[in-house]
Amino acid sequence: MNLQAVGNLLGRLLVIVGLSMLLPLLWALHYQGPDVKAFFLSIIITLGAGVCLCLGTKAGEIGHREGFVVAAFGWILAAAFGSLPFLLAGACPSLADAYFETMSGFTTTGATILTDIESMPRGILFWRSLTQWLGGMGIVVLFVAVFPKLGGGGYQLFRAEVPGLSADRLLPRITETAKALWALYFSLTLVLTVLLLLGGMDLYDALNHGLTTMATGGYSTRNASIRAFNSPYIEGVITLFILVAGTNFALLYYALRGNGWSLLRDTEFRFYGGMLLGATALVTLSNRLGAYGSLASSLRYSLFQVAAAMTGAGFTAADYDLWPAFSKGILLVLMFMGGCGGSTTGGIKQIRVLMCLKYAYRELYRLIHPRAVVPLRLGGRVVPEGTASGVMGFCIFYLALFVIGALTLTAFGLDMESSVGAAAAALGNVGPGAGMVGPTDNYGFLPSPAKLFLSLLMLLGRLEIFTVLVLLTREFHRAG
Amino acid sequence: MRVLVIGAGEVGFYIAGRLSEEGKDVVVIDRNEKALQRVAETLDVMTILGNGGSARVLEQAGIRQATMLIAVTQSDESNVIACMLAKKFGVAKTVARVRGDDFGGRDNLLSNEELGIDLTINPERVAAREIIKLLKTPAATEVDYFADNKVEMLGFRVHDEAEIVGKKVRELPLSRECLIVAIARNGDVVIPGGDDVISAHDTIFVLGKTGSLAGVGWWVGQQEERIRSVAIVGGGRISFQVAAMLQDYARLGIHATLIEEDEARCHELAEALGNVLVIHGNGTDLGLLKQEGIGSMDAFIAATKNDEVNILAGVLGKHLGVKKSIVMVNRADYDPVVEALGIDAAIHPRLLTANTILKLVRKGNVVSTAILKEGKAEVIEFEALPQSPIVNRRLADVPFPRGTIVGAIVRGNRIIIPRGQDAILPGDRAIVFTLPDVVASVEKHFDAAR
Repeated sequence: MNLQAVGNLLGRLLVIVGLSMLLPLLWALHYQGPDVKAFFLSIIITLGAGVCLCLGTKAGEIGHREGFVVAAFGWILAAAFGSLPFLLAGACPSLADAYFETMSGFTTTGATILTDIESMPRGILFWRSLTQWLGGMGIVVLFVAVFPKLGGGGYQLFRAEVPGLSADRLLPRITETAKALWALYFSLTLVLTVLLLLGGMDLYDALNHGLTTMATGGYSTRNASIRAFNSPYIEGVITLFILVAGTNFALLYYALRGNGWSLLRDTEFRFYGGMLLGATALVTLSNRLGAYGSLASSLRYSLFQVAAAMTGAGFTAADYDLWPAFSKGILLVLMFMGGCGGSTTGGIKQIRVLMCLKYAYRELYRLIHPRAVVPLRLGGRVVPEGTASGVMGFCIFYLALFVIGALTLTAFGLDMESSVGAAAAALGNVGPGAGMVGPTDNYGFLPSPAKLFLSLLMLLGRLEIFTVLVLLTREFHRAG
Repeated sequence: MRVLVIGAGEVGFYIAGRLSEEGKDVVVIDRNEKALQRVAETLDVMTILGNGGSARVLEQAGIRQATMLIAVTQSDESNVIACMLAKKFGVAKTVARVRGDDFGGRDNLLSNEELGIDLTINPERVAAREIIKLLKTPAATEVDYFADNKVEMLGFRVHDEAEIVGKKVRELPLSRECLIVAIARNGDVVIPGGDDVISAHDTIFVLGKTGSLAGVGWWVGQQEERIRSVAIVGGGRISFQVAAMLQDYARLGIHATLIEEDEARCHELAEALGNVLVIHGNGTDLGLLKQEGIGSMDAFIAATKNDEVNILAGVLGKHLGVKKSIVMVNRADYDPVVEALGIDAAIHPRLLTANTILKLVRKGNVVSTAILKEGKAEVIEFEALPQSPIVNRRLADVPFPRGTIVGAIVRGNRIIIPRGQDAILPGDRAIVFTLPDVVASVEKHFDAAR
């Protein structure tokens, strides 16, 4: 392992985190908030640490092992330094709280420990939204876009962070690919912000919600989340954009470059769309019977919450804790599935779910035709057996982590529904869970160890498990 | 600039890596998933799984934006088809590796032009030419020519007991006509200053007027003797090319003996090569080698398909007392071993092919290039144009990047080994030594566009 090169890259990563704190500082200065000093200090500390780490080490070759380490530790460090403003401004009472809030931000989870969000200084709230935006497309991907001279190592970093089965190159150079993805992400955020402005939000709210919607994060500037605006237009715009953000960005890129049909022809996108329509229909029906008086309002809130659960955006437009159990059950299932690979969502991802189903069906088929040779096909293309077994391994780990997570939370005194909801919401980067941590509650009451444990689950979910878990294996360290 | 490379074998891999390092946007296409995976994981290039001879795959790879296509798959036909398609798509430059004589040769019905190929590379011929160069200059381990053969660059391995071991570069009895331009040591290449000390087992690269460097062999502890007899082990295409060239260049006066295991191939070779002694047998059979008097031969070339067999044969030849042992090695990672075993020179057909192709990619006023030690250093011959920023300036004032020196200036028939106060004039050819990561900034000094 080339520790020098790893340290060097981590140092540069911290510089990016430090520089990004300049934006909330501007808001803090604009509002003359009490958090100006906190941001000044945080920027100096983060930049100082980054520059020291950078100067103290030598850049070098990055292999796939170094890629894993940089991605995993990059996120851990980014969350640690990112929590400085929360701590220094007194927004979070303890270290564990601040770390939870930041990790929840960077991983686009959207779970919060804050009770009264609206009482927070404006700079702090903006930083909260910005962490989600940075984490949405990925800080390591941003890093690859900014530092061109990574050579083959850039791909190793890129691959360690981008979710889904394959980290597609849009352009021959990985730096260019990362730039294209960020440019697309940036432009979509801009369009969304303008649309929200047109819906009557002020610039500050529109920008914050723009950032957290594109990241499918779900941090809001209001205590009551999207409910506070009570506007079908805003809900509609946000629903549309979280669904867009839940699509594979590579597909969006090709679609915007004029190849629109490729989007509709994509197997994963179709499955995603079908899942959305089916779930919305069921939840709408269930809610019409059990919660809402009219079909229109049932559809309005059901569609929003279905989209939010599927993409892991922790927004709430309705208190779904009051919905019938069947509706809540569907939302929980959707939290597991997540959006498409290569999107900003969490969860298992639609493509993996689809492959698992096909894999399981093939076993059934083989019972009837024991000697049949049945390659796994996805959209007409044969999936290599290695990929298929990788997907199986991922799903097993995901479910195992969910079980361990839920069990551990019950040990902290949560009831069954809350534990299951919290574990699924943290691992799937959704945010609000169910029961005690439902849409109108927050995670503030949990003991500190539980918060750190949930932070770890969020990180595992965002980096798709393997990147983090591989560091814990003995084999990884033995290999030199 | 986008470049499509068809074929992710050794040659494709190496070319893609070099081009990507030089800032080109590279897309590699291959049908073999394993080979592609290796490319995707180590190089900063895009990979596409598919047949390079398919228009759909080429389009997917963005051939419409491409300015160059390099087809280096195992199959001649695939390479030719890819180039033909590329020309239809309007790609400016196409290169194909073509082994057989059935395509694009001078006497063929289908000319290169009709096939849409700008440059064909025959890897066997390239390797054979390299071997012939080494045979012509027996003391050297590497040979390159510049400025229409007026300038030569020779690589010599420094022997243990050589006179120059432990001396500083400035203390060497060099004439003003030659210059030590690079030293390869433990797999690295340094561009030396006057205070660098020569140690045993270094390879020194000396540049000078062609023919004037004969004396250098003596300082490094290597006798300069003309090669008169050669044994070639293996009857493959490269061996055939070498033997045929030796037969053609009768004035070299080198007699060749060729040892091949396959009897049918022996007959073929014997029929095609009238003046070559063809022996049916195993090239690593010590008894056979002794019987044929290999030990008293001047040079021994091991060029079978198998790297390990070649290395073993090369060592056996050396053991028997052959003066110069040359082996063909396809895997560059064997290089340190080959050197340690006392083999005089290794020929890498794939790297040679790749380097020949890379020359084509260079800008217009680059006349030729040579690549040392798998690309750890590079020699570029530039033609200085009246608009080039470098002309009419004292070399000491030119802000060259670290590790770059002008080895020689060729002005008409004169060869100048420049010192700091010399200047390059328009129309001169300059032979520049540099390291690969700064090639682009060196090129700027000679660029006409500025």
